[in-house]
Amino acid sequence: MRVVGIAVGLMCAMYVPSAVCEELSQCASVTIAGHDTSFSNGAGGPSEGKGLGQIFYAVDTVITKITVWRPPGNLSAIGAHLFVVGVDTMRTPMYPVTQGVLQDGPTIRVYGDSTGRIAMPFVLEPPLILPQRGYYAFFIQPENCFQGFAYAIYQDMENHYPFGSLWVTERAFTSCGLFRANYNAPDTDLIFEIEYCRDTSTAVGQSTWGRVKVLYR
Amino acid sequence: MQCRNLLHSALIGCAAITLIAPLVRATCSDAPSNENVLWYASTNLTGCPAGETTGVASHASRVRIAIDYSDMDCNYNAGVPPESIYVTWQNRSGNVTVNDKTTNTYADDSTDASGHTNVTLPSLSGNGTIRVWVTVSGADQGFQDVVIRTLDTDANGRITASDTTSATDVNWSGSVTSTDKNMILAHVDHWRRNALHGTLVRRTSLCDTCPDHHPNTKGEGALSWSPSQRYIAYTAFVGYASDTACKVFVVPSAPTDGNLMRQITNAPTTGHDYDPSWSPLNGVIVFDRADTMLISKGLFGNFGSVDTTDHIISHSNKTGCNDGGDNWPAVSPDGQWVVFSRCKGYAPPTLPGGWALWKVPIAGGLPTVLTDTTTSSTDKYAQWSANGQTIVFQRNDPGLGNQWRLFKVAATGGSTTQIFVGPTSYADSVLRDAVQPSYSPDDSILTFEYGNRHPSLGSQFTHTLNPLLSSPDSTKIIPNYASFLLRGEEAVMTPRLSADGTRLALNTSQIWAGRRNMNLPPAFTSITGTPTGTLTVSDTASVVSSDWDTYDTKTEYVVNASDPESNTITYNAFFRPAWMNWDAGTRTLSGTPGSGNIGKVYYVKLLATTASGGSDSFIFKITVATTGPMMIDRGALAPTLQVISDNPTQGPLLVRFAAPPNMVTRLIVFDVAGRRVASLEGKGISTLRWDGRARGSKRIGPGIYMYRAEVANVRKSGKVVIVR
Repeated sequence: MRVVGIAVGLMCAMYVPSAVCEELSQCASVTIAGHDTSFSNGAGGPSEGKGLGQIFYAVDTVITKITVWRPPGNLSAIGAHLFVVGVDTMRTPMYPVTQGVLQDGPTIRVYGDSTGRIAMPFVLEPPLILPQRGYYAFFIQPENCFQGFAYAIYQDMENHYPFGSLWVTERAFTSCGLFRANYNAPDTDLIFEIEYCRDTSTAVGQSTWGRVKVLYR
Repeated sequence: MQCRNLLHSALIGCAAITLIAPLVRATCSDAPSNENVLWYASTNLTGCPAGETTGVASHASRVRIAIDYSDMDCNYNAGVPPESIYVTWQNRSGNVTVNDKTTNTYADDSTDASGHTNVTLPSLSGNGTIRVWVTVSGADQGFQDVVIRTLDTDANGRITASDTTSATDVNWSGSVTSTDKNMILAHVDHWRRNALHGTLVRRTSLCDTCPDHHPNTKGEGALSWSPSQRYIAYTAFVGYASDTACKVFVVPSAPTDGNLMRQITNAPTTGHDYDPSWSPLNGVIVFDRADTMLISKGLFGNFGSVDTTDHIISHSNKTGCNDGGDNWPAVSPDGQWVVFSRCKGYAPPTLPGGWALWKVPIAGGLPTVLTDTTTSSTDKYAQWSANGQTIVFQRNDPGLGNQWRLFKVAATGGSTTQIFVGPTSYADSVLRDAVQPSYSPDDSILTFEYGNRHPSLGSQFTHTLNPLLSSPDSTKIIPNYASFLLRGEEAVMTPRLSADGTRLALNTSQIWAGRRNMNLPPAFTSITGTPTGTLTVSDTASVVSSDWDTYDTKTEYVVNASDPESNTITYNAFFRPAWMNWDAGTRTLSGTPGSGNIGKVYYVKLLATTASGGSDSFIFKITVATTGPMMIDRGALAPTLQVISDNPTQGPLLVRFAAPPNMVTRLIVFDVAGRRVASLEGKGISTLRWDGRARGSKRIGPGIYMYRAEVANVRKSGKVVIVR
């Protein structure tokens, strides 16, 4: 797992392209967490309109972007729809509760190319506000519940991500929707990255500029 | 001309009319005291043999007879079954004909709460006038003449460009113009066999309003007919504690057999079972479980299987498939193979993703691949042709775009051929998919789903296509049952014709069995020339068993069938071994098996069809005999006996004896209470045949019976299950 915390103002001033800064400008800080692409050792995806999902631990409560990746050359004209749902942590293994959808969409279309891994960034506008830190799951379902092999998403098949595992929902065939999580691969994780936004700065004691100068003179 | 009811006389005055007038219900006091059937037939039609709408304003494409039915007190007769309301027709002038329908055409459905129903004659050819008679509850309700013009001017049942040479004024403009001829050209290749219209009968009572995937809602996947076509297998969700699972059910296809929805699969309680495929040998269903494995399961009760446990045929869950392995099975017409889709896995460059078609013996074993495994195409929902030589399926190939297309491949595998794809661009940017193809029992028609994929525009419904067309496009496919619009995209209805071609199963949020308006099908009656004499082929028999003697090089079997309307019957025999000959003219199987074939069992499919598409078939299970006169002539063998029937069996119990000529052979049958039911005797080389009748020729009921066969000091006893 990778967790990165940065002060956006400093970062934007020194290193980061302006477009990224505009995107992040409403956040006092950004945390990026997930399962790094360096762990990918396979890729795959279901058919029959099933959703492919991953239980994760939310390190913060405001999500602005979720990204997964496809292998180079895995070209696809099929859109991908994002869901974020709650998790029943009392069950073993923990179980995604697809009836409780916290985030429905967006749908993105990334055809891809062969030059490098293909990012599928789901930007959440407005951001998803989670009720608390903890366990959640996201699912990616082919647009309109496409019944064929839509695309392959990078996975780690050696279970390096400690906070959850891969789930697949039931067939969405006669009608289209995110149905119940039906299949669990306990040793497999999706490769993913979640961007959290923190819109409040760290609390400090009240003081005046003059007092600070006195203290550090 | 008779005017047998008030509406008829009041509206049209017993004269020909030119427009479709609305049916007006007469008041009770207006109605005759003893006849309260009010009916009216559309006339001045522009028809198409395929039953397709021709689009001429104010001129219908199908003959539709609207009927209102009340009792003597003018109370609506609701729920009167279709069998009680029918229409017959007769040519009055010209060459006009109602295709494939020479006998009664029954109502589309039971009368509704207002006592109303329709009768439809969908497939019309030629030009002229027909007279239609209506009969309700056995009483003649009079007739009406109907004027018909069609695009099939030579009335041969198929529209061709040559039909323009004798074109009529099909658009009713007053003269024959190029517009009329262009209408004909726009319908070239439309065929009478494309028309599937008939009576829709709902067979399930699933919850239409419940949320998807909740208990008692329609399950995912395809459906399948039983070989006797008395049942339809499908899936539905059932509740287990707080969870639900998709399981396989069967339901009678006709209300006369009841409406009981019987659950066939149970454990594991939370696992999903999809896509049942009924073996033509009747007692077994194959389905896929958890989208990873194929399972065969014997069916209990009347279906005759003693072993009702689950047997895994094939199992695969490749890397990168994520809950995908072996899916979408279809049992071959001889019951010996299963074609299915297997996930290719994803690990480029060796594993490209997607699904390919494979086939595997139904008893399990090593699968063989049939379609491409090098690209990421997905091939699924395969179905066999009736002759077992071709497999049709749906394909999505990312290299060809984002549509589902229909393809076919030889049953031995190899190159694939595209059968049909919808247009690839539309103004609404919504793709039209063609999915779930299936052959008619005579291989003359493909039924499949075609329509909009998008959820908000979902309008996929049944279409038909002549599979022999060289380059079919969307003008060559004919919509049927378009009123069935389903929720969501991929709203596949699995249109599948029954084994005799007279019914069409539809898969919506309920299961439907559409009874087609067509001639009655032929029926096999017997096989003559068997070692045991004439074998009767019952109406519901899916398998008939017999021996093929190696010692008798003149062994021949002649199959016999009849047709209720005396239509010409065409015979075929498929899945024959190389040594077996078939003469369709004399309906004869002949040949000499080699010594290496002794003991082998062959499943030969016999098929009888008529031009309307009515069909009958059964599997002739032939065992190459292991005993014969030569063994006795040598004088070196002790007497032997062998039970050669199936168990369970729908046919006779056969025991074959090999013994010296004067040695008595016996077969005694007991019921479970120990009562002797039958006793048969023979001598020497003989086959004793118990035909399921008790002494006094009374036919016994289905159940378990004990038998004892004996010759000299050789005895064999056991149980046999008789199914009906």
